[in-house]
Parts: sequence; structure tokens; C-alpha cells
Amino acid sequence: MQRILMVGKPNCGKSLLFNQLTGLRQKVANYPGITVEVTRGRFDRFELVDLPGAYSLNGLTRDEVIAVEEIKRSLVDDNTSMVLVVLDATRLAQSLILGLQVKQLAVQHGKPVMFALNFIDEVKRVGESIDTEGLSNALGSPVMPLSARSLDGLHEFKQALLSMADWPKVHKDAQPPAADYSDVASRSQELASEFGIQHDIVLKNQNRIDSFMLNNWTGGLIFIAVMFVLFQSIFTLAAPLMDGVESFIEQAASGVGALTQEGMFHDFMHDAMFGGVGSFLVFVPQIMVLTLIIGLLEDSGYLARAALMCHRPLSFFGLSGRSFIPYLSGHACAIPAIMAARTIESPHKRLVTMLTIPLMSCSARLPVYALLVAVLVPADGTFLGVFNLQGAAFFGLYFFGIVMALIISQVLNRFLPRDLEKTDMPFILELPTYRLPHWKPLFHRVINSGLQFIRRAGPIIFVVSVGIWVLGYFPLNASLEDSWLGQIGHYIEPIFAPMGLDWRYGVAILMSFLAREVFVGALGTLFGMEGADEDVAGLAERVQAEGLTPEAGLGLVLFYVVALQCVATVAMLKGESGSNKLAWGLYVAYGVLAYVIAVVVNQFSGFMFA
Amino acid sequence: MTLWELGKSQSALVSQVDTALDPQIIARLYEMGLAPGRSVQCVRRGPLGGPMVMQLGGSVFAMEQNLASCIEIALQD
Ligand SMILES: Nc1nc2c(ncn2[C@@H]2O[C@H](COP(=O)(O)OP(=O)(O)OP(=O)(O)O)[C@@H](O)[C@H]2O)c(=O)[nH]1
Ligand SMILES: [Mg+2]
Repeated sequence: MQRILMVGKPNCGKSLLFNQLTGLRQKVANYPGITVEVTRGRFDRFELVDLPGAYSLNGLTRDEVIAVEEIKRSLVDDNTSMVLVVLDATRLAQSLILGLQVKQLAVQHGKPVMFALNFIDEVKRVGESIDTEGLSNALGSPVMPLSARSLDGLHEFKQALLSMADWPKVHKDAQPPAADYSDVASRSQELASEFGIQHDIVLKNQNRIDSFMLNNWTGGLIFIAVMFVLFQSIFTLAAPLMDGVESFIEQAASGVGALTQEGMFHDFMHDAMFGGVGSFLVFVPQIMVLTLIIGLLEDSGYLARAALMCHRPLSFFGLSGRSFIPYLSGHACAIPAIMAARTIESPHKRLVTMLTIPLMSCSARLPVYALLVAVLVPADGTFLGVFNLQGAAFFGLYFFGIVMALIISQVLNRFLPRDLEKTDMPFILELPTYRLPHWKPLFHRVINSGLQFIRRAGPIIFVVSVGIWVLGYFPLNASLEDSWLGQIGHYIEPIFAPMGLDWRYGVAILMSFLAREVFVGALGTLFGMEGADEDVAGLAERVQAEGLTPEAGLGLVLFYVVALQCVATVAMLKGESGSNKLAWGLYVAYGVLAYVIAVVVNQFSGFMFA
Repeated sequence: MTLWELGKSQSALVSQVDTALDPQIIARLYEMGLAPGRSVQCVRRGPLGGPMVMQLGGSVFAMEQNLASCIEIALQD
């Protein structure tokens, strides 16, 4: 298949345009450096390639280098039929640097170039217009004005793109000789002042908002407020939805229970399906709320400001302001977050960031947190009279993860050997325009996060629930204590005794070592099998009824904050750091640290609950 | 005087970029518009020595102290 290569500066709307052309749903957000790998899709008869953004062919960060390497490789490839340069019409000077460089290189290799002048909706909104014909003549390639968001001009653009991609030869011959822009920067400046719109118009709003957001006082307060609302709302916004799902599952369970005959099948449905698998479905709304809030933040443009304000404090721990974004997205899932660390300017800081991302409380931990918070913290308690106590406890857990990450970063920063060959690049960050979030992609992302969680965690939780159920159900008519599972459990019990936990928790923890989301399902199955009553009461009430001590409960939940129980994360770390030893070493180290913390808390935190 | 010493809302012309910097970084600075003779405006100063925010042409960038103090400027009224 012939290929069309999409290039452009960071945050110029490449991925949104790519999505519009291919129908795919790549991540789009208002922060420079969202796409960090080469992505391929299909547009008509062509393969469309979306690249990470790059300011110029002289790439500084890992994501830029990936883009530049791919551009250079594709331009010498016969299968590349043309290059599409995406320009941000409101930031023409910065967009044209890469644009002119790529144009020059493409002409050398006989590849035609088309410019997509994106963000035309914003140009219109401020009552300006751009002389695309003049710009097109100056550049020696067609320039198509369009908006990937409002879809203005998209139809004409698609047709022009297809006809150019179909007959590249025609255009190839018509290419003007490559102009020699020995000074690309001044040429793009010239073009921008001739064709671009006034800076003051573009930046008026942005600078006005920034005078609050970046103000020494209000800026700091806003930052703290935003973070608090973020973590608090994961709990408070999601609570009613979770109750809804929970009561739905309870009804389904009693409905099915009434239909089936007493016996093995009945027990299986009740214990393994509703008790095990059902208890994890309850947390899907929470994951969706988390995605919604992170998505809102990402698309508003605020993230770059947050990164900037955090740069100095994070530097103290051996991190960069750019570590903020991977850390934040690590609260949804560590895997994309570890990739997002590619935008960090210094290789050493990037490594430290990657190694500490697993301490961010990812959404797979939510079920564990929610269960244990429900067990340990009274639902109607308040904190300082206004905040819901359970919500505050959630915030505390997230906070604990972040503090651990900072401490460990500091340690790694001291002791991790530095690769002296790689020079550190300085911290330079472009601050994008503030923008109202784009609802449609955000909506898809939220729905998707829920579905993906079910798809990824569902099968393994199903298998584990069934496995536990079978081991616990046989030999027939034995009590759970005397079942095969009980025997295994008692064998490993001494390991978990110092944590203050009995064998059932031990089995659930052991099961969760490769995927932490299994814990709640496994525990749900275990308690479900024990419960004599026929309705599936909330797992939290059962755990409470069984009497989990607060010390052991606190230790257990902190164990889950620290332990790296996710094989996919280990694989990702291995891929991005290039070291198998480092990745598995980290897995073991976090496991041991988590265990030590849990034991210490269980033994010594009694005074807090006296 | 260096770029780092530029106060909030002040404008200046870049006069020189420290040649001891990594050539790749110098190239990037030139591309961003921090080349001798070009004008730069400070939008904000961060608290506690955090990165400064500057306007270059139509874009706004944040830059940390190490780098900003390698760029010589001359104040403009
Ligand atoms: N108003 C408006 N917003 C747009 C347009 N195109 C993109 N955006 C927004 O601009 C932001 C950046 O879009 P992306 O598609 O992620 O940009 P990108 O070039 O892929 O960015 P990187 O992957 O970081 O290089 C998002 O918030 C988009 O919603 C447009 O034509 N008009
Ligand atoms: Mg992108």
C-alpha cells in the first residue's frame, strides 16, 4: 500500500486530523507531546502514518527523534507517495520550521508535499483570515485551510489529498526546484509575518488566563485545588454510579438464584460469577470517572502550566516538570504513562520517572482501595466538617503513592548510574492556548476506558474466580477450611500472618501478583463460598463482619499502593529501558518494600486506632 | 545581561547565545527564535526560581534557569 506521511509540530492537530481521516481513535489532547510512537491507519487506498510532533528535524527528546527517524526513512522509501505537513494557523512561525525543513528534504527525494493549514476555525473566530493562495505560492506546494475540529474545509481537503497522492508523478515534475533555506528560522518568520495573524490577537486570552494560573499565589492555590478535586471526585462522583451497578448485580444474582436449582451449578453462579466477577464490575464507573477528569484536564491546556509549576519542585527529586504528565496519566494506567515519559528531555530523568510511575495508583488498584476504604472508614464521616471522610481517605492513598514515588526518585537519582554519553537536554515547554475540551473524543475515551478494563481484566478475573471456586468446592461436602484451597491457604498462611491477615487474604494476594485487579474478585469468590446466606451482600460488609483489624487493613491497602503487581507494566518497563534485569528487579524490590511496609504498619500502627 | 535577568513584561533583543552549549541546543534555540537580533518578551517570572515564561513570535515558551542564563540580551525600551 502506498503511504502518506503526516508530520507537524507538537500539538498542531495531527492526531485529530488522522482520526478524522482514518476513523481511528488515537489519543488527542491539548499538550505538546501526546503522540509518542508511529501510528498507522487507513485512509482510502492509502496507509496514513501519524507521527509524534517535532519542532524541527533536529530532534531533542525521544519522541521527536522517533518522528525524525521515521521521516528520514520514509522519504527514501518508494512506497511513500507524499508528505502531508500539518500547520497550526495560529502559530505559523513555529509550524513552518519543520514544514520548510521537510519540504526541502522531500523535494530532494522527489516526494510531493501538501500543507494542511489547521485551526482555521480559531482564525475565523478572532475575525481574521489567511491568504492561503499567497502562502501556497510562497511555499511552492498546495495549502489547504481546514479545521480538524469543526470539520470546515475537510471535504475539499480530502479530495485534494487523494488526487495528489494518486498522481504524485504529475506533481513531482511540477515541483519547483528546492529553495535553499539555509536559515529556516528567518524564512519561517518572514512567511509568518506576511501571512500569519497578529500575535497579540492570538495570545490575548491565553495571557490573560495565565496571569491567574501562573500567578505566584493564585496559581499555587489553583493547582492544589485542581489536584484535590481530581482525586476527591474519583470517589464522590463515582459513588452513586457504583451503588447503581452494585444493586443491579444483586438483583441479577437473586433473579438467577431463583431460577436455578439448588446444587453445584447454583453454587457456581452464586459464588464465582456474581461473587467473584460481579464484585469487580462495580468499579467500572470509577474508572470512567477518572478517565473523564484526566481527559478534561488534558484537553483544557492546563497540563502544560501544571508541568511548568512543578518543574522546580520536581527537579529537587531528580525529576523534570515534564514528569508531571506521565505521573498524572499513571493514575489511569502505567503502560501509556511509561511511554509518555519519552517526552522528558533528560535520559536520566526519564528513567527515574519510568521506574517510579508504577507507584501512581492506577485504576486497577481502585477496586482494592474502594473495598478497603469501605471496610475501614465510616461512610457518613466527614473530614474538617465538609469533605467526605471516605473521599479524603482515597485522596490519602493517592497521596501516599506520590510521596513514595518522590522518595524513591530521590534515592534512584543518587544511586542509579548515569549514562554520561547522553547529554541532558534543557527544559523547554511550549504553553498551548486554553481551549474548551472537545466533547466527542472525550466521550469515546470515557466509554472505552470502561470497556477496556472489562475486556482486559474480565477474562483473567473470570479464570481466577473459577479456579478458586473449583479448588474451594472440592473435595465435595468439605468445608472451605478443609478444601484443597484451604489446605494450600494454610500452607502459605505463615507468610501473611505478620501482616495480620488470614489465609483467605493470603490466597487473594498471591493470586494478584501478576495482575492486581484479581484481588477483589478472588476475595469475593472466597467470601461468597463461605457465606451461607443466599443473597450476595456487599463484599465490604462481609469483610467487616469477619473482623479485619484496622491495623491489618491499613497495612494491606498500603501494600497495594506500593506493590508492582502487573506483568504488562514490567514488560513495558523492559521495552522502554531496554533492561530485563532492571524491570524484574523493580518488580521484586517493590514487592519486598510493600510487604515490609504492610508488616510494619500492622505491628506498629495500633496506637492510631486506640 | 542574560535572558534570565529579564523582568516581567520587559522586552529585549537577543545579542548572543553561549557557544559552549551543545550545538544541537543552539540550533534549537535559533529555530525557536532565540537568535541574535530577534526580540523576546518575558511574560512571567516563576516563583522560587522556577522556569520563566517568554513570548517569542507567536508562541509562548517556558524555559529553565540553566539555559536562560546562557543567552545574552540587550534591553529594549
Ligand atoms: N479548535 C481546534 N482545535 C483543534 C483543531 N485540531 C486539533 N485541535 C485540538 O488541538 C489539540 C491537539 O490536537 P492533537 O491532534 O492531539 O495534536 P497533535 O499534533 O497530534 O499533537 P502531538 O501528538 O502532541 O504532537 C487537541 O486539544 C485538539 O482537540 C482544530 O482544527 N481546531
Ligand atoms: Mg498526536
